[in-house]
Amino acid sequence: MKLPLEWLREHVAVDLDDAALADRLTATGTAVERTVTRGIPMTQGNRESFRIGKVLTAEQHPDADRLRVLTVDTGEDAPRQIVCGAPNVAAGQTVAVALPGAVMPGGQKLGKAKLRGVESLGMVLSESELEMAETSDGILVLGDDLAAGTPVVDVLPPPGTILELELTPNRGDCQGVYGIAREVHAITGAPLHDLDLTLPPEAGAGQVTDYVSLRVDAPDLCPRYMARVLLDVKVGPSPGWMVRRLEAAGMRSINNVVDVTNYVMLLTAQPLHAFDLDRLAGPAIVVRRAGDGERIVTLDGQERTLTSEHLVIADAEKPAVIAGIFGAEFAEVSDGTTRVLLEAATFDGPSIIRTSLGLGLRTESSARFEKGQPTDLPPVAMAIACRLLAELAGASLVPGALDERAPEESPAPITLRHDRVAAILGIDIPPAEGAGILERLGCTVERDDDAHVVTVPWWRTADLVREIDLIEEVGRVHGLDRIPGVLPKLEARASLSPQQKVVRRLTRYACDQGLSEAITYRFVPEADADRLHLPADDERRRVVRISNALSDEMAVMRRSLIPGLLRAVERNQAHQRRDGGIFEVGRTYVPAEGGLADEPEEITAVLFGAPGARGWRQAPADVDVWAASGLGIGLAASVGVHAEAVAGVKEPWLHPVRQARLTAGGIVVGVAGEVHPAVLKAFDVKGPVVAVTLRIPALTQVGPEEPRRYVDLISVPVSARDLAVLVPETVTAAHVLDVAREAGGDLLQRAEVFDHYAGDQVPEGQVSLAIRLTIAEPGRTLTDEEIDGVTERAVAALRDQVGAELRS
Amino acid sequence: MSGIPDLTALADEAIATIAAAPDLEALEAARVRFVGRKAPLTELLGSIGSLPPEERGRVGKDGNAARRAIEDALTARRDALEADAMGAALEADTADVTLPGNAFPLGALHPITQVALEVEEIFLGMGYSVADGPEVETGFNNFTALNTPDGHPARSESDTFFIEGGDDILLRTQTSPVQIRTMQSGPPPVYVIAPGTVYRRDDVDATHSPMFHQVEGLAVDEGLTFAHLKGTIEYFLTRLLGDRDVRVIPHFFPFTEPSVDVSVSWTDRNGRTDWLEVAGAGMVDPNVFANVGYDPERWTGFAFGFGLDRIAMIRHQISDIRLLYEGDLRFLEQFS
Repeated sequence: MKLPLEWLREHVAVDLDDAALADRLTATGTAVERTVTRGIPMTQGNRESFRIGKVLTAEQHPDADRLRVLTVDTGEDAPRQIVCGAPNVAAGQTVAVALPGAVMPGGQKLGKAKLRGVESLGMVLSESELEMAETSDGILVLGDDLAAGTPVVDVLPPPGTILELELTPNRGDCQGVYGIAREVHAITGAPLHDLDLTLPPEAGAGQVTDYVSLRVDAPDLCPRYMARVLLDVKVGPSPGWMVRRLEAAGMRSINNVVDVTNYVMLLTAQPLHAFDLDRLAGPAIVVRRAGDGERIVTLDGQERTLTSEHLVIADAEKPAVIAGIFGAEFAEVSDGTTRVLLEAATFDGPSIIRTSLGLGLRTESSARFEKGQPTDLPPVAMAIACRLLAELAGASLVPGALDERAPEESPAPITLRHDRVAAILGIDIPPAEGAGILERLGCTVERDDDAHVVTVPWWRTADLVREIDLIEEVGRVHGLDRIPGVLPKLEARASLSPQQKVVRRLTRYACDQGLSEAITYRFVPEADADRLHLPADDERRRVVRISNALSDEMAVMRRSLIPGLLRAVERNQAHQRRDGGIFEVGRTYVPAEGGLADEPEEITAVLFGAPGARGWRQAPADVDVWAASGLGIGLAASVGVHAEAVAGVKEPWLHPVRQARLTAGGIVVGVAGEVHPAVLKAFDVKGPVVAVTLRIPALTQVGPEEPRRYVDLISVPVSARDLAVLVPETVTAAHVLDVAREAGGDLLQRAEVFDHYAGDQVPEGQVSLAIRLTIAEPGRTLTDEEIDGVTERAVAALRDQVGAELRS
Repeated sequence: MSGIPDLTALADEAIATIAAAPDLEALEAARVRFVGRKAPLTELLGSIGSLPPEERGRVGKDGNAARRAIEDALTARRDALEADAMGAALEADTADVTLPGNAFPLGALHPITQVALEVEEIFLGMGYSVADGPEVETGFNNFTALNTPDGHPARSESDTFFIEGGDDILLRTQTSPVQIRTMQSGPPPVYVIAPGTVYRRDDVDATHSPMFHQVEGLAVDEGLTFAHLKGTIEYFLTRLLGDRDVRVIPHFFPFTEPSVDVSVSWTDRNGRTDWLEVAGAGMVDPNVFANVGYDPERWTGFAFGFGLDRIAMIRHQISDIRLLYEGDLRFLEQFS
């Protein structure tokens, strides 16, 4: 809201300067977003740079029809030559002059100029250049009694400061200048002047009921409807002071009648509406819900279709206003209007919000009604508006008012316990100070030893309802910034959950492997399921769907982190990044009952190209399935889970055979492999790309394991035996090791593949595997026979169970 | 007796010769000459038995002393010559140490994660737990229980994402519903923070993202006051952002009263210092306690919320929020 301080100061005699007042307002919760100054800026030197001048001579410019060359006495040693383009300039005038170096309203600095070859050592000013008016036709001509050289700021109105306020939604009462004046009174103690609510003399003939009837069919949406009739209205321009205030507050002047309604709204926060009484059928006012499909042509010329959700102010036949929001063309006050019906009403806030959102119409009026206005406010605004219409438009007020008001309970007084103030705020504010604050806010306070009994003024009954609301007010006005901070004394009893610990370790490990963490949008296109080649009946096609998504690209909640990361790879490749590793930890969303979701977390990493350190003697290899499985097993190991790669899974988005399931303790913890080339194509990504996904709930379930028991393989000899075996290529390494381990028994501590070879020297259809057996028993030295026994049993089992042939 | 050589002179000569040996070959020749099998000293010591008995003791003692001195000299000279040789060899083995060393890659945590982790550390240290809640939430938990009734503009389709097939099921617009879930799950005292992802129906631009991150904090106990809220926030912000002024000004939130906006003093790239809004906070509204079955007469508490994206952007001077969600390694790798 734009608040002209000159207007505010008319209602509250505050002696703080503009900046101090702005600070005090901010500190008490009426946030000043910006301070705008109109008129001559009060910067250093500006006082001397704007002077009264006397035009001594005015000659035609030799080379320009529209310019005059003046000599102006500005109270200096010699007159100044100034070139001026204003049509009304003439010798003998007293004018306002800005000298070179002046900082103009708006902030630009005036310099010397040469206009069509003639030097100009200053500028003769118009009202608009001084920000005294929006437009002006020529220079400002002042009274001749002013002496040349007098500072302009001494004779013209002081610069106008406008505060742009950010009001909180609970303070509907502050949406008018007078509401802020009350607030300033409360926070500074400055005297507040009462509003003059005397009606003009009731000069019109008859009674208001002789002119118009009122029926309120929807009291639930219109708690109060008040109307008066004014005759002999002369529509015309508004006086300058009113136009300036309207403009300073951000509104445009229309005509004196409309301006009065806007002016009173800006002052009191009560929107008003003026009808041309002669255009109303009946003449009648009917406050009712619109019929479904009923139409109205609003002031902007648009035809709008209404529903029974919308409240309208209608005449006997048709809607004349979308209540509280926007009027129809036909009933507006125009130049020919002589009889005016003036409305001051209150409307249901939520209904105004729904209508305003539904029709996409938000006005100064609807913004005020949204917050709900007290039903005591309409007569206040009505009185001021009637008086102004009588003064400015010569209107005669018809005796009596139409006034329909739904019954309301008057709110009960609130008990404010002194100890409760301290219990919430943490400081002792003396009860007398609290009472003083509340009284300045307009409350009536009955003081007592343990508590005050507080009656709230009508303009605050919406937001001051409970004891806590009063404590907030006392704290706010006293100054929350004055309450010293202390730390609570609490026993430390916190630790991270197992899942939180798992996530921390996983992310740390991934970074240590050179991958960087991304966060991608969790709403994704539904087409991702197709891009991932999920079969039609795949469970992962069930998604949580957003009903009001911003776009198809953000339509459903993700079931997998893969698409988001592939899109990230695509973006990276688009700027010539060939290699890299990215991971993300985050939730996936599985539809559950009633539209809710299960949200299991996963970590997914993608590697593309040949990531890793590339240097003058290091050349990382292109990623492949083993890069993925190795990373997956490493990630699992970082959280104490010993995972194995198992062949034979068919994840549709991965290469059909170059993929592995990662299992631990009989539980599937994830999957790793090369991303299917068709999937890469669907995401516009260049291969090779591999991915690994680990399910965090599964990792948390499997590990971290119990603390390991120490195994004494230190004080005893540990023997290693290497075997080279030829096995059919269809036999997996994991199976070979399983067979060896099974046969080797307890003495076989480890069996691992350390080489894999196919090609020359190896028969077609077979591969050569080199296996290292580590043999020992904790705490005991084995005999040669025992060691050889383990090896022999392993070899025999491999021969018998997988057809392995020992190579010499 | 004239047949016995002057052992002192012999030792001196040997030591001088050894010290002068220019290389290992000359040293070996000296060894053969002075202590070899055929060397006079060796022969003398080998023939002690043939000496008169009264001389055997002296010759044996002096001879062995001379032999030890010579052998020590040999060892010393050999060590010196070998060290010289090694030094020379090492000097010849040149390397340009300014070439890049073996690289050990290090990735980066996302700047939002880094801030979240720091926030968690600070509050864990104060005794807070880290709580969690679903992102697909009920309108009750996200709004109603937090004193934001039906019909409030924030609950409209234009501000909040709703889920198809649910009755008032939505993507949470704030981490505050975790407050409700935490309080519903057990009695006070409660000291939790809840970092998480939240959603608002804003179009994407440099300063808006429909998905962003917050940290919620909630403390409920006997005797907690606004002074505790202020102390906690001041401590937290100075730990996270360094020693700077913290300002609270009254504000309005539906679920706290009194409520405040929290700002920190911040100097921008151009050296201008201003207040930067970083958080909202307040004393838990008694209605919220009533909604979760806590007795507002016995328990008081405070809640606060910070934007993690905002703090990450302030710290790293990131001017466009979209960078946070693009997965661009040129951006992400800057934060390792």
